[in-house]
This record gives sequence, C-alpha cells and structure tokens, in this order.
Amino acid sequence: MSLHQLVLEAAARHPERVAVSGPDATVTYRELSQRADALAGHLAAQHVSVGDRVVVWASKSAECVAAMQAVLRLGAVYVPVDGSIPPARVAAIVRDCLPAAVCTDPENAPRLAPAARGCPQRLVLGGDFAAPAGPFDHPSAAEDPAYILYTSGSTGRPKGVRVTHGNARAFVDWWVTELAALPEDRFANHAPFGFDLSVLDLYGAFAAGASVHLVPTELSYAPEHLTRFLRERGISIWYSVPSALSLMIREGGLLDDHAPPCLRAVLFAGEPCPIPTVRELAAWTGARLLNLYGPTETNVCTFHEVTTATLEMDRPPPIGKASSGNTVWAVTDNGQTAGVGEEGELLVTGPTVMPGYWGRPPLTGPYRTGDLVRVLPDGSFDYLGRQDGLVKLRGHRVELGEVEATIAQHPEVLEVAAVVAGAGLLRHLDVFVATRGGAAPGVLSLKRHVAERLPRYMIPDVVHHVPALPRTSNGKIDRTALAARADSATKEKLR
Amino acid sequence: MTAAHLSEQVVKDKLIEFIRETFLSGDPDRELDEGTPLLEWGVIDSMRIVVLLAFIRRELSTDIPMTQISGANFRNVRKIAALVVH
Repeated sequence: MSLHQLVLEAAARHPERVAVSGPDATVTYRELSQRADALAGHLAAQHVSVGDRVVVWASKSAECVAAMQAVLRLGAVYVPVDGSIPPARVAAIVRDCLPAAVCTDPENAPRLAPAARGCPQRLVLGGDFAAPAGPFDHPSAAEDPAYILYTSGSTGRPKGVRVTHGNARAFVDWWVTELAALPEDRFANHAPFGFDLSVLDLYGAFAAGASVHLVPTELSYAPEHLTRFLRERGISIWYSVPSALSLMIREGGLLDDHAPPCLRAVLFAGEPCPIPTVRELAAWTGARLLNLYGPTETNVCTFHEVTTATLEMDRPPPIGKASSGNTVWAVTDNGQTAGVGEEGELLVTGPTVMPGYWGRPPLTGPYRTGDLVRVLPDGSFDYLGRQDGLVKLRGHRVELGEVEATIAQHPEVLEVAAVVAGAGLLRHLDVFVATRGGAAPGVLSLKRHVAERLPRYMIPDVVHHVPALPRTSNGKIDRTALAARADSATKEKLR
Repeated sequence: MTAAHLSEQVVKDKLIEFIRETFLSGDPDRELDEGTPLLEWGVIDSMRIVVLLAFIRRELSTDIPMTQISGANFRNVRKIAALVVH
C-alpha cells in the first residue's frame, strides 16, 4: 500500500485530531489532507505527474509536510532538502535528479533562481492556492519510488538514496507495531526531513493517527529549548541522535525534574550512544530505551532494546538484531560468514533495503554497509567502526573525501586532508591545508568556500595551515598523525 | 554592570573578539566583521550558540530569552549586539 495512504486513512478515521505541530502552525488531519490536495492540484497544474521528482527545499513546517504528501498523492517522488542547505548544493541535487518542480519556503524564495537552475517549474510554499480539483490519490505500487534522500558522496557528487513505497511501509509498519503506537501518542521530530530518522517520526505518527511535533532545525541543539519542548509538548516517543540527548542532560537540565510520565519510548540512532548517557537515561525514566541502527540505504535494519544487562557493559549498547523483516549477517575478510566472536562487514537484505541510488545501476544482491561489526554470543551485533573514509558527526554522514574535494577547488589550496577527532558532542571536523605559497586563504574564507557548496554539518570546525601534509613511508597522507594533532590541539584549548 | 550600560559598539567588539578566539582559531587574517553571516558560513551552529549564550550571560550580564533564539536574531554580530543591548 502506498505511503501517502497513512494520512488519507487517518484523515478519514479521525479528521479533528492534531496531525502536525510545526513552528508555522498546528494542523489537524483534515487540514493537512486538504492542504496536501490544494498543493497537489497546484503541482498537477504545473504538469507534475507520475514518477516525476519534486525537490522540497524548506525549513521544517506543517506546510512542508503537506507539500511532501502532495507530491506522493500525484504518484511523484519528493526530494526533501533542509532549508539551511546552500543554493549551490541544491543545484547539484537538481542536476542529479532532474526534478519537474522545486518547492521552497518564503525565506529561501529570493535564492530559488540559482538553486533551481534548469528546472522551470518553481513553487513558493505558504501561498494561497485555489481549491483543488482533487482528491488526489495515485495508487503507487510497492516498487515505485516515494522519496529520494541525498547523502554525502565520496567523489564530491551527492548520492540520492531511492526509497520505494514498499521500503518505507515495511519500515514504518514494523516499528508502529513494535512501539504499539496509538492515536494518543505524541512523536517528537528532531532530525531534518532530509535525514532518514525523520521518516519514523512523521509516518509513525501518521500510521497511528498520532501527532508529530517538529523541532525547528536551528533549535535542534539548543539544550534548554529541547528539554522544555519534550516536557511542554507531552512527548511520548522521542527519537534523535544520541548527541542531542547528551546535550539535554549536560546543558539542558533534562534530569533535574522527574521524567514526564507520558514519555514511554526513547529511541536513538546515527552514532554510538555513550554508555554513561544510557545509564543516566535508564535511571531517570522507565521509558523503553532503544538503540536503532541502519544506513539510509537500508532504513533501520537492526535494533537493541536496553536492558539491565546492557547497563553493566563498558561500551555503547550493541546494534542488536534484525528488525523490519530484514536479514543481516557479517562477512569476514576472507569472505566467510562471521561466527560468534568474529568480526566482519555487516550485510543486509530485506524489505526495507533500497533498490539503488538515483541515476545509478540498481543494487544487486545484499547491501554492503561498510560497517565493521562483531558477532555476539546471542547472534546480535556490536558496532566497531567504518571500513572507509565515511565518518559521523552528530549522526550526519560525512565523506571526508567530499570535504577534501570541495576545499581542493579553492584556487590557493595545494593539498588538503580532513580528519575528525574527539567523541560525541565534542567531535569536531578539522582540515589541514597546504597552500601554493601565495596569500593563504583565511579560516573564515575557507569556511565560506565550503558553506557555499556543502551542507552546514560538513563545514570544518578547525582549519590548520601547514607547510605540507605529513606522509607515511609509502607516500600516503599520514591521517593517524593528523588525527592525533587535531586531538591534542583541542585538548590544549580545553585546558 | 548590565548590558544596558554598555554601548552597542562595545558589545560588538566583545562579541567579535570572543568569536574570533573561540570559533575561528584567532582569525589571524581579521576577516570577521559585524556583517559576516555567522550561521550561513558555519562560524556558529546550533551547538556553538550555546557557548555564545554562556559568554553573553557571563561577560555581558544578559540573559537572552529562549524565544529570541532564532536564525534571524543570530545572523551576524550586528543582530546579536542589538539583541543584547535592547
């Protein structure tokens, strides 16, 4: 069944229940559904049709959610891009997915021309659109794409993960059952819409006829705000990267008051959650604590529910066992399935695994995550790290190669290496830059250079100017030495 | 002393000095000015805003209410200084 059926069904069952509470408005299922039809009518008049892509470049809002629903109702494919993403990056996404239309919010409207270059149909959300000719309800099949999520690509070109209606439904339906979500539930949405964590928040709420409460992106790491948001909105299901929870505990006074009784599940994903944070949460609330794992390409494919045994561990909680009907296993260096105690790369196959990247050959066989895991005695998995240059910064995927390729485009830069150092909240992205000997570009101009081309979470935190990059004996850039230097420079500063 | 006693120019200077030292490795090329788009160029982000708010509270004796924390109010040093003084 198509993904957009969830809102249509909820609107038929209980039209007056709140569906979305955003910074712009709080809307009921009836209002959300009507607005989605109005926007769908407008897009249809602009010749958006079955299978077309529509980029939705906007800050989080109820209107933005309605736009995503409108696209699905036409049988088209939405491409969510956060409003903070620079126009040059949006333009790269537009060049890759060749959308039939680009929608944006009034704030980004003045920058729409460079962002949507090559795409004639443009729509500024929030306007007054004529009553729709709808209702629109294209019967998309399970194998039809529903949305495309763009992630960092190692070559400097963004990669679009194509997610089908069947993929999304298998994932959402499984989790709604696991969480036994009800119309009374209140889901928090912390992640931006271009980040796959948001799929569970939005569609989990819609599947249950519950409400979803949007945290504006610029407040997503404002600790006191987040803590107050959780309490005042009466959130029952919270899902975020662990960094946000750590920040709420350390800076937002989350544990100062008793846990709200309505809070019944806290989910985290995107990076390992430090065990002290897990212990603090478990001591504070009786809510279920769930560690979810899965790259964008597979949706959530494994999970671990925190138990008293987990709390006694001296490492982050395991990523656990398969979820959402998937099959997962690890393969060792010599190609064998890893047994208990052995390490290997995690492979995934099943209903939530994407059919492939947009515009690239389809995926054949299981998806290779590139993540190293260890098999535990009960058959579940511990996460060990990456096999390549992909790193996580507060849950966001960052290909170091993409950061390097972007900085290398600067005319004064001779060579550059990017490394990450530190853990959790204090994790930072450092770049080491050797210049051509002329005037070295300043820290601010390098940040600006990256800011104009990549998402904000890929902007370097620290820029080190060096005469030349250190090399290992076989001539490779000595990344271990650079990481150690980045680490000690930070410790120096904190001292 | 409260921020009301500080002129807007003094507040701007203090903010620029703090941002240079804390987020821009000292800004040796003196590139930062009061109009530099701080959020857009990644000089501050939603995490570093917390550090900046602590500085404003401690050094400028001003508590910025949470309702005032928005992308528009933290766009550049000029905007932040206006928020502190008024």
